[in-house]
Amino acid sequence: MNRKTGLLLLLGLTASAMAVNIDDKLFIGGYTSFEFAKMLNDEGKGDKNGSFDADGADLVIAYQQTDRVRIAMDLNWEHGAATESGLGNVGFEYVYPEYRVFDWLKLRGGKMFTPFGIYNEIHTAKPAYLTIKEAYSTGKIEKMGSDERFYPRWITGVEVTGDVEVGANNLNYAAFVGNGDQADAGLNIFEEDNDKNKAVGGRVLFSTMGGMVIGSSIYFDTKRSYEIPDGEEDPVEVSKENILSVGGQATIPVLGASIELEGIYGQYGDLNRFGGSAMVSYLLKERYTPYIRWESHDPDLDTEDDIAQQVIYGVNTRLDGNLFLKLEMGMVISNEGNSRFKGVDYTEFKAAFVAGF
Amino acid sequence: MKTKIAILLFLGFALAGWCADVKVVVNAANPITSIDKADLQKIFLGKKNTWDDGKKIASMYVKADKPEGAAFFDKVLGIGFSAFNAQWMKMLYSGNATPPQARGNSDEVVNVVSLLENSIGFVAADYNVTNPKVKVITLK
Repeated sequence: MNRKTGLLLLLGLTASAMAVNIDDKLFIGGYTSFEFAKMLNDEGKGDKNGSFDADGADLVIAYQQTDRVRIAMDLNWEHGAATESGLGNVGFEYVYPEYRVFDWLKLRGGKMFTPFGIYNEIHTAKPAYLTIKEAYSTGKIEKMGSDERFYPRWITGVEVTGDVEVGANNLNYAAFVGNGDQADAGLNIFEEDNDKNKAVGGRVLFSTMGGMVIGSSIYFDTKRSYEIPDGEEDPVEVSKENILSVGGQATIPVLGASIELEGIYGQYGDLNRFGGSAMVSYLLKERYTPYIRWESHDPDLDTEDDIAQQVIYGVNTRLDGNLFLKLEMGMVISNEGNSRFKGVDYTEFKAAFVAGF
Repeated sequence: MKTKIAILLFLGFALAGWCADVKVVVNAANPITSIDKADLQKIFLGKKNTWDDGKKIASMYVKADKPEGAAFFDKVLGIGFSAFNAQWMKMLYSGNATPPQARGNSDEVVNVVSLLENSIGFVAADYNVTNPKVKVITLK
């Protein structure tokens, strides 16, 4: 057996806890989530019938081509993805090459998750967080009464990122410029921008060796929409809205517990809105993590009576390896002016089997 | 004076405590002879990814169900395996980094470190490293 064959056998036949090392260059990881939801009330926006959901599966691939070049991609299936029946969706969450100049300076280009807040970059990666769903109050705010999100899921453009040593602590940053979001349905935003304005933003995370993380994110863009008038050939701008979102986040370990806080203030044109969440969790016997999270979303700070809140409590149990069982109850409480919930409060039970490798 | 001596003795015993649980190993071709705890933590938590010569670091750990693995996560990294695992899942799935490789025992770590010049790992404190392509470095 020569050296290379021995190395491949040694590396290839041994799976790590989180990823399969085909050799010392190629990592393949992934995760899947299977969920159930049932609303316990007769009325409300929850699942009345009680449904199983093949929520998603992702294949995460990273290839370390050289000491400096790495290619990262995530192939994603959601909700069954029977495309011949037009059900679910399949896509790449991100694909980008990364060139490392230094640990504190890496360059990326491609389709990427917008680096904003706690959940966006891991929102489909259910093994990576305790609850069954990400915090809707800051991420999927259309599910709490807003029409437009604080920031788009993805950015297509270029990003600089890196880690800077601050004594024994770490400062991670990411800054990007990209196509941003746009209202035109006719254009592929991952291919062509509809205006000269680019979306810009970034995030800074300061983390201590003790596990505390404090960070801030920002996103700015101008969102335009166009129409082609009857008899005309050239599109005419019909709306233009500035989007500015500023977020803060903190994860604080306290006496064995973990406190997670996030808040985002956003402007969309003349609209001012806010979303926030606070979660406390405690790991027991390296396996059971009970948690409780409070979320609040105000779609328009200048309008009274439109706030929606959610309280989620549950237990995340690591059954074995990276297989988790999550059981939780969620209570939605809203004002009558909230466009989604309209003041109809309800409670929903959710369960999920989640596996990662 | 007595207080200073007491503090130094306490720190000495504490240092000896976590140094005694594992030995850090690198490929014999690696010029380093020692590493401090903060740098080791940064390497295994994905904050330091390259050696001084610019080569990518390949880190590997013994699984936490082995005594040397448990000692490493609890006493050297100081965060326990669950927190380590959770942190790496976020970095892996977001595309930001690839995790250290998990190995079944000290033997496997030594075998891989002997084959990869840019690698670093740890073995049990009482493990006798006889492979000439692997060297033990001082954990400061």
